[in-house]
Amino acid sequence: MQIGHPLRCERPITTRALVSTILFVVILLNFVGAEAAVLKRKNIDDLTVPELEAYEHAIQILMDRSAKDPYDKTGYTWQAWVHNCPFIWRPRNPTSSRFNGQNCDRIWRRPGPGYDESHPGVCEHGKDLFLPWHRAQFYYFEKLLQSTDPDGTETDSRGKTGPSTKEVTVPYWNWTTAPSGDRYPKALERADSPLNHDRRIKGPLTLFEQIMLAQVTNPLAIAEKIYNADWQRFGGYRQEDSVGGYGDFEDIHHNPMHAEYFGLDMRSPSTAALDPGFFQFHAYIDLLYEFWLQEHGPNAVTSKTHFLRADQPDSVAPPPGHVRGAGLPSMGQVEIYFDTAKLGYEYEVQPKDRLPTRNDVLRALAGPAGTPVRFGETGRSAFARLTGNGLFNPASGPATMIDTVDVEIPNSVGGRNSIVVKLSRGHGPDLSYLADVYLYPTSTTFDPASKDIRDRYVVRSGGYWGRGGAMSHGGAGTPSKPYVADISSSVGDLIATGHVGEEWQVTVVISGHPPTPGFVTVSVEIN
Amino acid sequence: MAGIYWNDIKTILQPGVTCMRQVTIGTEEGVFVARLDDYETVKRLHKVIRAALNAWRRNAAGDAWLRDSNGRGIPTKAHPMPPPPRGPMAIEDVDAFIAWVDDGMPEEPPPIA
Repeated sequence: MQIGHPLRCERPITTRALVSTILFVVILLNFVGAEAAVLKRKNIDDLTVPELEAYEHAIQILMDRSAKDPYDKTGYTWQAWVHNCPFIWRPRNPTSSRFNGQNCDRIWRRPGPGYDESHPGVCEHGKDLFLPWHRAQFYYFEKLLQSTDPDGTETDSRGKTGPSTKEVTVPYWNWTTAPSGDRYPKALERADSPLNHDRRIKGPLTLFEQIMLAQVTNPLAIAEKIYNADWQRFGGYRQEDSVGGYGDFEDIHHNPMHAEYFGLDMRSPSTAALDPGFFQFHAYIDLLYEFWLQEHGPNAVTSKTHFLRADQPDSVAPPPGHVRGAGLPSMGQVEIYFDTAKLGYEYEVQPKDRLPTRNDVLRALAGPAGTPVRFGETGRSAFARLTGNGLFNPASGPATMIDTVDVEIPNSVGGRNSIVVKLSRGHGPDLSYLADVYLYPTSTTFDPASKDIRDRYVVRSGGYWGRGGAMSHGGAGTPSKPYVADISSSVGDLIATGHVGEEWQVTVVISGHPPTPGFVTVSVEIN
Repeated sequence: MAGIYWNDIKTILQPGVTCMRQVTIGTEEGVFVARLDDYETVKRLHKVIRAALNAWRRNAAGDAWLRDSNGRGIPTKAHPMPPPPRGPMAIEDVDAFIAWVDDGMPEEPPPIA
């Protein structure tokens, strides 16, 4: 039996071997150094003209590839499908495709013998994989952009040659600040830019939209989550958990931005990435994920060894630590995407893009006495002070649905999700909607048009992001779970301030751009 | 022993087979197509399937949840999965799936000695 390390070298080291070893190490270090070049992702408004031109040139080349062959994995359409399209029949001969180039085909029967099953990808939402999955998607997308025209010699379909795309990164749009254009950054609105997109809401925010979306884009509300929220509250719950789903950031900020700010293609995960603005919107979300990681570290992130689903081109080298996993191709596991430097990028954050401070958050949450308010004790709940008083605008017409459930305030409350409001759709298309949740004593008459009532009693306001009209019961990916609004903290405040045993009511107001689901079941669950 | 075996589960999951064939699910082992007519796949994905089936009508303790907007108990006979046209999954079938999982997901009855 042989004992010992099978790779241990027992021979004496010669001078020649030593020199060879040193040379090898030097070459290796150079190689690693080249691979590890860390580029800056910048605010799109801060890009120099050549930087923006390089980004547009790279995007245009991706679009040109897809115009020739929508099934080219290095093209824009496939990269959008990585987010949008869980299944497609891929023709062996792309020119024989009978499909509209950008549609994600979800027919069940094989169109003919020349087609193979293919799974480009599907975004992760309503679970703890939301932020890591999008980071992984962007890793591949950014590497593809950089490889489109590194020498700056390609001519795109606009007739523009170069500049070099070697150092292109995905710029972010800080949507918590006023846009430089009418509604979006100027770079997304220029008529001749490949970043412009027909199927998004155009024009300045209306007064109604400004009021409604102020809470969605509120930097204080986002900063509070980054400073104070643990991973579940910020990033979401495991897909194996029966109760949970969205983290607070996703349903309160991300979902309404998709559905109400951008709208149209961005209104559904099945079409969202067709809008090039998707990448600026989500690059900022990745920066917020980075802020959270810098505050809390990656240890609390759940599902670290979970594989992230997508079929990416072989021409892009996966990140360090990538293993393929069993089954279909994947982007590797969550844990290889924590260190952005290893992924080749970091963020340039100018003062205007810094988060509000902890003191700013504390001041926003303080009542007249200077201490954090308790729910029900002042004219504005903590949610109203920090975020807003609801997304439904009574002046814009009737709500889709208003429903009320009685609740007896219990004598104790457990931790997170011990008291939740559950919203479930029945059968039918998986449509997006907004949901405002109010908790108030039965002696109060709820009036959604009353600012005082909304300010005092709002406990939660966010949105469900549905997969679109063609999808039922959750459609692509893991079947949808109910939309869950945790009201434990507010009920805990009521218990602490002497309301045990009282009858209160929960009213849920459903609204949003049509179409919204016609019926949502409301229930209060006390665990 | 629950006395529930793969053939029983396969029958229960049958209405969703075609639809779910388009769906991929990421796990700690890798990414898999949700082939609900394949024993190994269902065994591998049982946690996600269980959570999806269970979430609609049960609380974290596993009890049928409380009341609808009129204060009435939610009817537990119906379940939104899978979608029309085949209709909802009966709660008894959801319970059978859970019992099968809790029993170790046996493929076949043990051989008679």
